[in-house]
Amino acid sequence: MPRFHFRRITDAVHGTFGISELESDIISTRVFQRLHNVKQLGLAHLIYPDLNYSRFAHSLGACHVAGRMMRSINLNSPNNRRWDEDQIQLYRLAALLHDLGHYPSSHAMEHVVQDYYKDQAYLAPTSGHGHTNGKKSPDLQEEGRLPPAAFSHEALGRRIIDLDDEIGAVLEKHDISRDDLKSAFSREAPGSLATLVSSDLDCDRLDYLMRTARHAGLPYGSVDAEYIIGQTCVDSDGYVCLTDKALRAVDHLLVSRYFDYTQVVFHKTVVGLEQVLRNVIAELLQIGLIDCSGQEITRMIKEGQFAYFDDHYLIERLRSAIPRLGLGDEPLKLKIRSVLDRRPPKLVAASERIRGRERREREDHKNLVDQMRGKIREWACDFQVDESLWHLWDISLTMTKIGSHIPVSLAEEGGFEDETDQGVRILTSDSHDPQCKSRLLVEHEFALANQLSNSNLYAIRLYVHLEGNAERSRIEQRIRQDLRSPLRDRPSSPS
Amino acid sequence: MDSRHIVLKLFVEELGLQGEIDSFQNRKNLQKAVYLGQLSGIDLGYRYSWYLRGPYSTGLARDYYQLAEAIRLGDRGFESRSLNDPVKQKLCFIKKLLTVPRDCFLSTGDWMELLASWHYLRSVSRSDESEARNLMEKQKPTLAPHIPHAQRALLESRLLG
Repeated sequence: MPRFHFRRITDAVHGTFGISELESDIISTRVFQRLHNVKQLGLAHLIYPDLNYSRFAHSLGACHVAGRMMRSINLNSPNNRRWDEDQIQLYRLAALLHDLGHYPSSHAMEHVVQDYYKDQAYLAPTSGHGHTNGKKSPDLQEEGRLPPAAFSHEALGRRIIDLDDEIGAVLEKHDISRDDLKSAFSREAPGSLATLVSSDLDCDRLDYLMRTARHAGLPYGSVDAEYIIGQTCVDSDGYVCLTDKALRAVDHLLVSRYFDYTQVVFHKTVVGLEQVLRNVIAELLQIGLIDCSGQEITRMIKEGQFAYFDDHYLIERLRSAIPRLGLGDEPLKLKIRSVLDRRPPKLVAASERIRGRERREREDHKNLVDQMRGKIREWACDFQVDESLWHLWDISLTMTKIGSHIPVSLAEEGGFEDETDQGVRILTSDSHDPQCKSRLLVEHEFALANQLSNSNLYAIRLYVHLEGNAERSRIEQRIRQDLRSPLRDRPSSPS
Repeated sequence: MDSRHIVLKLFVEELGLQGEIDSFQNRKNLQKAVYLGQLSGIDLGYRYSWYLRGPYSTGLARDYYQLAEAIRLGDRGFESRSLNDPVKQKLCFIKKLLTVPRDCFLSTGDWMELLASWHYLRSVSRSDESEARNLMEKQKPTLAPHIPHAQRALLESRLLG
């Protein structure tokens, strides 16, 4: 039986595809099954009803795409840069496991947890930042090397591979070491192809965009994935890249990513509910009703409880918190119900614009954010809505970037940051030429990405929990009167 | 300013850096200093991969770009905070390691790159000494002759087994 057809998966995006025995064993472990209950897009399903696909489905899709990209590399590259079946298996596995450590509700929880526990563990307490849940912060001198105060999802995935017994048994059965596996998806070994799993054009992004477009019912992520996958190759320096025939398709992919952000991730109600959820998690951490410290998570993995650390865990924590809160906690109760019962806060002020990346533009944006933040207490008092029920959100999004955050200007300056090699690269000669080289897409003047790289999306929104629309109009009017900078219109969100 | 950015700012200052990222050299120094700082046991959660210039963390890069932008636009949220004493004590130990040995003629930035790269190859990539040395000679020919200094410093600090 061919190695990658041990079991067949029928998938909404990719149709029917095969997986290996090793992959079948991995997805049967409890920590991987957990991903069935971690939604890829947090609370977005409350706006787009079918956008409730899981990280389980996405991980399988990414594994399939990684395998196809490896096959294309073998077809498109000279003989000396081809990958054997064992190497293909390793990268498929890295793709399969790339989301293993995601928190419930994905990024909303991860960022709050990171901020809270880093403050607790590493900063001296101040009057406004006490260690209020009654727990002693870890004694670093006594305990030596501790887990991080809080895990990022990448670090957590690695820790699960290190500690989970079932994963360990599967790897042992298939004679794969934990270190080799971590090395493949963390790029620990020089010369690895980790950009296949983590870069601007990786199996993760391709599957995500296709799957989100399919489930949201929006066409923006309908990328020409088939063509892009088929044009994948490796240049003589070992960079994963695309033939020049795929330049337009990949330009389109980067624009699709921008529309995915603006139409799905930054949808006004999605953002409103996610802001409330972050706020609720922060407050529950503060009063000790949730514990996601590095030590606690490590304990959960070791004791086999991590498989239940999923979206249901978080919802149960929210539900069980309400009766435990006191009379003075009414605003927190209201916010918890806002998430559980889908009662989003009202949008009372918004500004959205696409402008250059110059310092003046960024300062304008920051000034408006500061003005709003500085006025919230006054507005809360005047309209008698508790200050904790106002949520300010802002974003300054680079429309084209290299890696997750490197400004394109760095590439133009020539002072390359190492991460710039995560950018999409286009071959400058035939892929079968043993000396073939590639350049970053953004360095090509005829690429749309080159032009977009000089622009940012600046957006600010203010939400408040309100019962009726009458108060909302008065608040909107007052905000417009009070702000020195005029608010700019923003387009309506779809649906 | 978010707490993780405040921690990062104070962490690198405690190691003797200003946290500036305006030049490639400064960014590289910051990357290597945080790598070495985390060897103290203060795990900020940044995970490193192997790139051309040695260990590099994309998560750290994301955070220092956000931190630099916040400071550039006037956010001084870090000024009222400080690291707690156990963290400071642990970083004091690493700060000594960052001092270039007298008989090693490298800049502080190159010394940090050498220390971080050698430690990474030996401990994280699990390369044996010969493999690690060959890679260093190929990718970092100006640093490779100073490997014995790095090996000695890391052994004396009990950071290599």
